[in-house]
Amino acid sequence: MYRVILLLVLIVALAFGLFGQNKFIVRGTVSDEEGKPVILANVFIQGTPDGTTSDEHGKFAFETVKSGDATLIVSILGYKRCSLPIHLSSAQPAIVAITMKNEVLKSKGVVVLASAYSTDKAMGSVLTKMDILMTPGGAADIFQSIKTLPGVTQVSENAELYVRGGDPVETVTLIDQMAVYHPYSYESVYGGVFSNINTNIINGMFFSSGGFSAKYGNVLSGVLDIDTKDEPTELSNAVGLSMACASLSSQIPFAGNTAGLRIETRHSFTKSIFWLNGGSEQFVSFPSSQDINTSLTYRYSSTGRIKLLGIVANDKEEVNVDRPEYQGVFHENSTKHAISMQMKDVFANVLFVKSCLAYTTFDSDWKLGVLDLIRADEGLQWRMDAECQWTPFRRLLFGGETQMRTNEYSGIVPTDDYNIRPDANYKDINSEMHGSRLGTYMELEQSHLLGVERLFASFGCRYDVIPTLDLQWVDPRFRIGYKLGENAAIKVGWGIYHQQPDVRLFNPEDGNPHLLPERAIHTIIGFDQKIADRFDIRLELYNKEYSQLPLKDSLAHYSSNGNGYARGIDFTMRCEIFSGLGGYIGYGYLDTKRHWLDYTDSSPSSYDIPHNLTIVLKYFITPSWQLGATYKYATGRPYTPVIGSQYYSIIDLYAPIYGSTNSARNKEFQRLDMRLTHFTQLFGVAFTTIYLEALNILNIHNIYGCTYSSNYSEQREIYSCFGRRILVLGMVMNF
Amino acid sequence: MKTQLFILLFIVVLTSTAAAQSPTIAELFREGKQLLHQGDMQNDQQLLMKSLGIFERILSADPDNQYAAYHRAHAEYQLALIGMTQKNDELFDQYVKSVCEHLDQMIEAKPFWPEPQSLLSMVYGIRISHNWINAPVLGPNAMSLAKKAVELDSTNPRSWMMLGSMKLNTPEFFGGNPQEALEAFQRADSLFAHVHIVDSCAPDWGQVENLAWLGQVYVKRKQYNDARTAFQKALSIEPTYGWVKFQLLPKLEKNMATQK
Repeated sequence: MYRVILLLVLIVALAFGLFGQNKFIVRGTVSDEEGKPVILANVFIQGTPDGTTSDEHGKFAFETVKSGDATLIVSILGYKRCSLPIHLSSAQPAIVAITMKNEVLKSKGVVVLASAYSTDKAMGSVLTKMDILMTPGGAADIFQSIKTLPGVTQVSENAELYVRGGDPVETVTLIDQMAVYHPYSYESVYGGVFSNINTNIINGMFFSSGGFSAKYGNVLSGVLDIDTKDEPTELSNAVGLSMACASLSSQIPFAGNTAGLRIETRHSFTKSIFWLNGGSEQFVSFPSSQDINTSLTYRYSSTGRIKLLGIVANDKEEVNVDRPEYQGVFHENSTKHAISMQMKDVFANVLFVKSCLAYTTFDSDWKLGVLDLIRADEGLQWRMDAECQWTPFRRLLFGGETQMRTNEYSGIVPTDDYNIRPDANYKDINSEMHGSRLGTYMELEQSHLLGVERLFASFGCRYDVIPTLDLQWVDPRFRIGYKLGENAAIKVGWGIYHQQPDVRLFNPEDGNPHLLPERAIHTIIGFDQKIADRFDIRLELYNKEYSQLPLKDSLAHYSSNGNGYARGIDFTMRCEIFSGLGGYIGYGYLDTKRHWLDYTDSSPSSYDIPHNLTIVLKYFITPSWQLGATYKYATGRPYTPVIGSQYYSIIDLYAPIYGSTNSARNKEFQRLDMRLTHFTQLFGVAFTTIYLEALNILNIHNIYGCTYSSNYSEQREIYSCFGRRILVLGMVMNF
Repeated sequence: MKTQLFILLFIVVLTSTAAAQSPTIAELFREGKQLLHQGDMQNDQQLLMKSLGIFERILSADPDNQYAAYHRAHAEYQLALIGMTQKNDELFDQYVKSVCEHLDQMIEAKPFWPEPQSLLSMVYGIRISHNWINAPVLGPNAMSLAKKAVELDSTNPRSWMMLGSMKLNTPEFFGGNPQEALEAFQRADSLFAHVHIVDSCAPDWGQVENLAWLGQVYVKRKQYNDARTAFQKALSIEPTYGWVKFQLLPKLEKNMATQK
């Protein structure tokens, strides 16, 4: 009996022993799309703890007790989680070769761009969001901060971007793909002063001063491409108050953080700063502005989002103006609306698509003496951008856009530009111009070009057509670069760029409906090197040849025979001198001439500023105190001098006689801004930033323009309202 | 005899079954925690990633295992920390994003468990250190999470350690307080000394880290001898603790030599 029991025990032991040894082996390799081993990937059988991590050769092997059909999971951050069905049998080990794909296609290029500044390090980071917020004198304004970069000419205190000798209209601003043509407040004949884009909504930005990709069309000089933030993940509010501005913002996540609302409102009132700093006598009504930036985002999948963005802004001012023939009050007010719906998603893990439908309006009214000009600009636009990265070395960008714009000019304008008195001769204008443009582009980016690991390039082409003006053009562009090592690269860019001339010049009555698109050919050679951690330099040489510019013509009002050039050098050095003290130096040399509009011959353009120097320094005195300074120097702006006058007794008025176009130059521009920032906590919960900003602390009188005595015998300088020394105390409280 | 045979049968069945199921979850926990501890002490990315893999595998078998979820988050936090010290933004961003998501899920699932709350406060802390722009939103949240963790369980030494860390690293005007930091670290040290581990899978880390923090508070207060005692105590518990061994203690010795 006992023997039977013993036998039973042995059988059972043997059975369990066999069962215990009934393990199945899984082994294989994990590699990426380039075939390189993926180290320390976690490999396991789903629903069990059986697994291991891949070794330094990407190899793995482990045993499992699971049998039959199973799912092998491979995961590691940075790659898409991989699920693989396998069959486990005792006959033979399961051998698998796994190729991991990059997790989510990111909008970063395989090509490092020339002339580009971006918050994306892959595209050459120079300007960070912190820079925008903390740049002294920048007033936390994105345009004022971008103006500290080389390649952006310091023409005045205004926020408008004069890129490498180009007019501000030669730079396009895109917000979530939506082209915004009036992103400034207080627009006058001298340009806008601040942006109406609230920095708090900005997630990232890309700025290029030339040689940019075929993605951007109908623009000659520069691109500012801004992405706004997606849905917030944390509830927070902020209140800001300074002597010039009050702001309120909220970010509210809801629906389990899959959706969120952002609201940013600002109201600026300048009376107090002019009362404190002087200059209030310039105004009848102090400049004031309001803007609301709102976004509502819904994340419908791990990669897909729909975002509604709305921007509403208005401003007004009444400034005393002293002209030779008339002293009066310039009234300005404007209102802007922009609303867009953007959708973005990743398909099949390789195709990233962004699409935007937007509607923008702009209305403004200028009044001075007899002038009463109403301008309106309305646009409906659609844009789609796609990026397909099907190999780690190759990316295809393609897309299209269509814009329908209506520009309206109505009201009264003086017949002669030298007489704006209320009783001056005038003409009624009432013109409305409709236009639509269609554009499409394709660009291929390739690294490891021709099998050379360090060689990268992109080749692109775009086609634009404006049916109503019978204009069409093709713009080929390419960039090529070679990495000289881990930290240095040399790049060359070349491209043709076209832009529709000012729509007013197509008016048959005083323009020419057959004008050709303005054209510029960019050639850029750049070198950048990271010398040490937080110490990098960038040097670029550029040449921009203009042709087909509108030029006054005795027969056809305007022809397309204008031309010009802009060439120069941009240099940037960014470094941290020692812990807590850092900054950057930007220097740009520019030589530009144009023969266009009413220029009689090739002359320096109005934005010919040969020397531009910016030095930005920031120092954390303690973790809670930061001191910053921005110094700017620029050669004076050219202007056309008045060399005499002619008296008209009938209207008792002197008319100016002008000298050669832009043959005189204002004195140089200099400015030192300082900012002291203190971080503290109020009421135990509210993180608070208190700042004292001293704009133009040396009170250097920089010239905005010039005017003359009534008979033009005496020239007087005009200073910018915001160009004097201004002290601003403010705070922002987050809770 | 019958009885002996049945015992034999029982042992055979038990051992055979155990062999079939190896390694057990408990063994994996032990291995994962050991790798996590070594990775933390030696600042070793590979060990931490291996540890992370183990806890992910445990969660694959038992998705509701909160301890595995906690250790996974802890490994991710340590990896993010390595990303920050190595100035590897990609590594930092990936792990910070992942650890925040995991800790948020844990807090939602077990709102009264202090461990994920205090760990999340530390994650917020390193996000602020990495980029000051996060301070306005995350600073108050980090402090309130650390305080809440202590309120939820005032006998948890890690909650006190993390509160101390927040109090030490936060500027005074934001609610930081070196004295309160010292008291928190001392309280944590006392609790670590008397902690009774009931479940070997539960979090039990932090004693030597706390001593490193405590030593730093003493350094700030110029109590160099106390600081050295704290650092030496940390090394007596964990001789391979790189932060103390290669950075804090040598720096202190140098300071003390200079003072003389």
